[in-house]
Amino acid sequence: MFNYKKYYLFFSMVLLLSFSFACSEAQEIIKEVPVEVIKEVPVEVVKEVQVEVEKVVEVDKIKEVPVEVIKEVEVIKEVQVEKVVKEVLEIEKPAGKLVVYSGRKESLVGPIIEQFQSMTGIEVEVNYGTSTEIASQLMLEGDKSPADVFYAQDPGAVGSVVDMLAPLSVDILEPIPDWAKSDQGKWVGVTGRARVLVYNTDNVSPDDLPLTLNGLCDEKWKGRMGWAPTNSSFQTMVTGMRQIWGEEKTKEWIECMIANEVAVYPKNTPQVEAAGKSEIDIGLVNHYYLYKFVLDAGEGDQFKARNHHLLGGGPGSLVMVSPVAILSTSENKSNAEQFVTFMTSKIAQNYFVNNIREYPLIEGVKTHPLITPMGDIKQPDINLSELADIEGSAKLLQEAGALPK
Amino acid sequence: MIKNDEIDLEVSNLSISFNKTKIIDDISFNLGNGEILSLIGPSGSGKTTLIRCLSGLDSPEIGNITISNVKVFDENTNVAVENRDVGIVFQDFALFPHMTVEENISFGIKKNNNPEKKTSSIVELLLLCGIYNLRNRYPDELSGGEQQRVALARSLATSPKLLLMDEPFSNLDAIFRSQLRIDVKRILKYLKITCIFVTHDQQEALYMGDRIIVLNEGKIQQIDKNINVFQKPQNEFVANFIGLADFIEGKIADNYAQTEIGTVEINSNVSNGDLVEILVRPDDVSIKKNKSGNGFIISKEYKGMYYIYHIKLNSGKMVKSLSSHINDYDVGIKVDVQLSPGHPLVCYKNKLIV
Amino acid sequence: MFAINRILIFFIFILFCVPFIFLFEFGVTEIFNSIENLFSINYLNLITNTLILVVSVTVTSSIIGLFLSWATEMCDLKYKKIWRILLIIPLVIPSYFAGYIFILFYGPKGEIFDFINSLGFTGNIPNIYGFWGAWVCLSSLCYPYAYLNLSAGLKSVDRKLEDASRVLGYNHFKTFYKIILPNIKTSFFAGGVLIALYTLSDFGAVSALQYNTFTLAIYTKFRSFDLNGAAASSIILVLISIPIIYYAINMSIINSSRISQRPSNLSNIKLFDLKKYQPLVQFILFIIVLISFIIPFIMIFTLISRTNLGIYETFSVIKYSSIYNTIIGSSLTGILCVIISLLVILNLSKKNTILRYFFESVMHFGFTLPGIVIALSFVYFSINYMFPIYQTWVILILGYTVLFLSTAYGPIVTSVNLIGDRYINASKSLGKGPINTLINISIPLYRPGIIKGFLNVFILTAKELPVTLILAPLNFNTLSTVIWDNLEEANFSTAGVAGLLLIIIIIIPTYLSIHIDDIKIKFINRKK
Repeated sequence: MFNYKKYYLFFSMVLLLSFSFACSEAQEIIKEVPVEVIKEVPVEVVKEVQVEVEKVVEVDKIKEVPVEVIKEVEVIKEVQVEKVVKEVLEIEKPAGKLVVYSGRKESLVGPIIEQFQSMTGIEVEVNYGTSTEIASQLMLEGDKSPADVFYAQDPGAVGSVVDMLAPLSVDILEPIPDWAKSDQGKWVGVTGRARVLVYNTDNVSPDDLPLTLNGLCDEKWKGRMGWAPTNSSFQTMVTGMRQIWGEEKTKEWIECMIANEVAVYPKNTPQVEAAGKSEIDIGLVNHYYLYKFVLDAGEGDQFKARNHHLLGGGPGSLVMVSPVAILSTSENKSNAEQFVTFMTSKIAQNYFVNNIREYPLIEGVKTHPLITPMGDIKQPDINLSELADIEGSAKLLQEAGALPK
Repeated sequence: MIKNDEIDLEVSNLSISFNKTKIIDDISFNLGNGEILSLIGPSGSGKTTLIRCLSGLDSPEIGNITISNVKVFDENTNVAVENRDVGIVFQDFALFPHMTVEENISFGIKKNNNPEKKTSSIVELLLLCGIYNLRNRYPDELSGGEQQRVALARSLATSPKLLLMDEPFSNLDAIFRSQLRIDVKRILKYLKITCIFVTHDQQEALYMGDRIIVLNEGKIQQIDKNINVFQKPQNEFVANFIGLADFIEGKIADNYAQTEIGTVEINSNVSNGDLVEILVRPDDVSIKKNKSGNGFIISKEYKGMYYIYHIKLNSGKMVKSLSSHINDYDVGIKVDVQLSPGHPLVCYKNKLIV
Repeated sequence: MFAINRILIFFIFILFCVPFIFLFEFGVTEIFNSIENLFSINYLNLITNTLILVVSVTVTSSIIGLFLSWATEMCDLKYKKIWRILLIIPLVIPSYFAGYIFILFYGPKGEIFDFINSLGFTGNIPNIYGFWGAWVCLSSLCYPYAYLNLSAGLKSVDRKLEDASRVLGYNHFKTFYKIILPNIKTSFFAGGVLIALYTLSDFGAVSALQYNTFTLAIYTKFRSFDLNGAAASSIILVLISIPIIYYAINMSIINSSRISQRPSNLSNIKLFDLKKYQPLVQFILFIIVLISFIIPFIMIFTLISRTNLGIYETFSVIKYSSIYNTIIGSSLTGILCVIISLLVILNLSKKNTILRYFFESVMHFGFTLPGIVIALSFVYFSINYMFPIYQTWVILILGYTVLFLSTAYGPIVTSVNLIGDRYINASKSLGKGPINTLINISIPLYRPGIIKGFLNVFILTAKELPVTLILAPLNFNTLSTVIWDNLEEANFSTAGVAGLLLIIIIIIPTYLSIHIDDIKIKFINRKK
């Protein structure tokens, strides 16, 4: 009888080798394909849409769904949303699918996505995760990605997959200020988050705080600061510094921060927590985490930390956006466009302002009363799509010793 | 009897119970220096419990145990097992699986002993027990018989005052068993070890023991020399347990008893006219083919050199007879049954010897 | 004839090679590109840091585990049942959660500091950031692995050996050291390897406690989109783990025949009388439980109490589906891991050493690699070759399986070694098919190992994060993703409630498994 055991190892080895060989071939093919796909797909899509619109005009019942929405919209008097609803009416069916890869947490965007779903009847499926990990996932998925929309925490994550994104329509791009959208028209910011210093109100008076990031190199802050160098917002800020200050000066700043014994935190919330407990006196964070702590702690000044916007401007006053983009391989492009339009509509913007206290990016939506108005922040003059080179910033942070190599 | 200064083990009034059932019930006995005592009884009679109490692995409730003039247990003292100087050979060997034969044997020898002496005594034991060639093997590479030799050598290495062997051969094949028990007895006698040998096999008990204790339901049924236990069992339980036995009713006349299968000489102190039960072993009964005999064969066991015939007498009584292998009778035929012991027999009244 | 289980085993092999195909594809060229980087002082520091943490956590946890298993299995310890459960619970706490809680309590301005200050003492408490914090935190999370393995080992040691050694003049402790310990060596090292690999691949605790390890570096690379660099570092991580894994395999294959192979007579176990040391042992156990369980528990309640919402509102934020997904996902993974382990162990006999070596090392690598590497490699694999199962339960469970199989395999292989596979062969010789044999013979026979293996996987899967986030179907969440999400966004009360639910979910099967053993013991005693 044939002895399988003997040849078992051999068989599996051969198969594995051929398998990995097959993999390496497949990889090359993937690299070539996107060019062709991009050429072909748009043509087909246009045809499909035309045909289907003709078909569906007769359907009456479906119109009832958006009519209700209009009433709701009229109460709020949102011009932007009427546009959304018009589009909804034009589209063949209220149902349909949409796959969103969200680098923003479910607890932040879950409710507004649900609202979008109930308004439009589009079935939205979300893959939540960390922006950077989702970006890696998208890179690996390539043109087979099931994703229609990528909604990220930072421009860096979207920038790293910019080749996979479809250009957005003018209607979507137009209401968003130039600094908060892609220069190639591939993504738009939904909301803004400002870089701030969070400081302990017991130990630091706001007057003592420096005008720019450079001031943090001062001896008097030694051992009193914290940062989160693995955090992508922080790394985006470093990218901004490289753009504005240049590599050399940025590296010097990082080195002097390390020399000033800055404490390393895994992310932003523990820094805010630490600042509140005077574990540190200054932390480099985004503005909106603080309010959760303040509100949880109750009335008065129970929680002993506040935000400070650097008065001198520069990269430390960067306002970043959470960008949303449509993938070029999306099979539900019209649904995806509705989603992006909705996220930049007044309904969604109001939601983000009131619930997360982020900065709205369209006109006509008021900033939350708790936070410093956008006009008072001395934003650096920089387009956020220039901040995509996160990898370069990480390399610099590694070289300067802020990150493990 | 054993003299006082030769006593190695003294047990008195030992009792232990478990869940209100007495496992050991008021046991007392002595054991002389270098003596081998077979402890036999049916399973559940308390043999293993007794052994564990003596070694200190379990504690009795009451009683005294003295091992070579050291009190190891009474109401105030309970010497820990490791300090009792007792060796045990377990039924399932309990060899340390991660040590070689030699390591197993030297395990019990204290470090502070002279290393040369230690080596020589180990070599001696290895040779004595016939396992010298196996000294570098691991237990899982040994046969059952070899493992048991190692276990014996290991427990002898500490030169214990008392060796307890708990059914050491019961896990072995019959062929190893007979060879091993000859070797073990030789070794024990050579080293003059005082030993209690637990078994449920009567052949083994008779062969190994200088004396035998028959234990049943926690009580000593008989403690005596092995010949006496077989020839003069104290009660019917012992008679049945050691060897095959039948009881035939007989009427005493002088030193003889009349039974339905003949008249025999008896060795009992009874008065004329008494009715007694006489212990009859199969070799005391002879049969002869006879169409008008006083019994018939209902079954037979072929034992190689001999047959054991089960015979139903006309009175309805059953007896067994040992007959040479040349006398091959068919089951069902009528036979003449005759008592021909060639020695006096013992009698019982109310299941006790008289 | 070509047996079906051979084909199955072949597919299992392929499954476990997926991460390596991925690493090979993305990492190898990068390693050669940055070869000078590998010998830089920074890099060597990182490796030393990692190894120091791995060794110290493993040794500490093993010693604690040994003490605990001795106390609960070999002594007449009081309240044994409660201790057995309390001592296992720290397994439940996800390390990213534990790190956070740890800082809240022991941090420079944490609860301890507040407490000391409220007593009127001023000044700072020892800094927990860095090595010491990571060491204590991970040890308190990991010791249950050692404890579980060792107590199972102690249960299976033939207690006659203890009697034999006592008779030969060794007291309880010397016997424990000379006889019992060598016989539970396999359990001891199995636990140790599990802890070493867990520490090696941990990200949550080390990042919260600011201690740079290799895994942290890999995550940092992923965060900065350096896929190739991350893959290269992962390969280095695999290389680092080779000695540990080599050791693990040697222990399980070669030494298995030298250990006690007789399941003990459960009714006849003689317990060590602690006498006057009873309170001392109870106190030590209390301290261990205090650090590893009570304090984290209190801190979870502190987190929950931070909110202004009522308990009902906090609960209502958590979707039922996350509870359901956690239970179903963990159970399915546990079952699959058990089946795969049995399939491999029973089909690759001991004689087939090379093949088993190969499989066991690949399997251990799965546990060594950070979850994100496994997750992305499965993305790569399934999107290209198995598209229909991409973002389904199937790929998620396969990912979990590759990650955690070695934690089920260890206990099961111990069980099989203990009992042997002769019963399986007997069943096969009686003409029973493989499935029949599995259900009627293998599962009942190796039950202790199977239960423990299942529990290990169940618990690890329930707290797993990166694989869940990346490989899960769309619109999918588990309690662990809920904790992460809300912790990240400072919704502490929700995170706390989810943590509490996770603990409850994991305690139930843990308790049941202990309870089943008790029932079995009672049953055997009654029979006698």
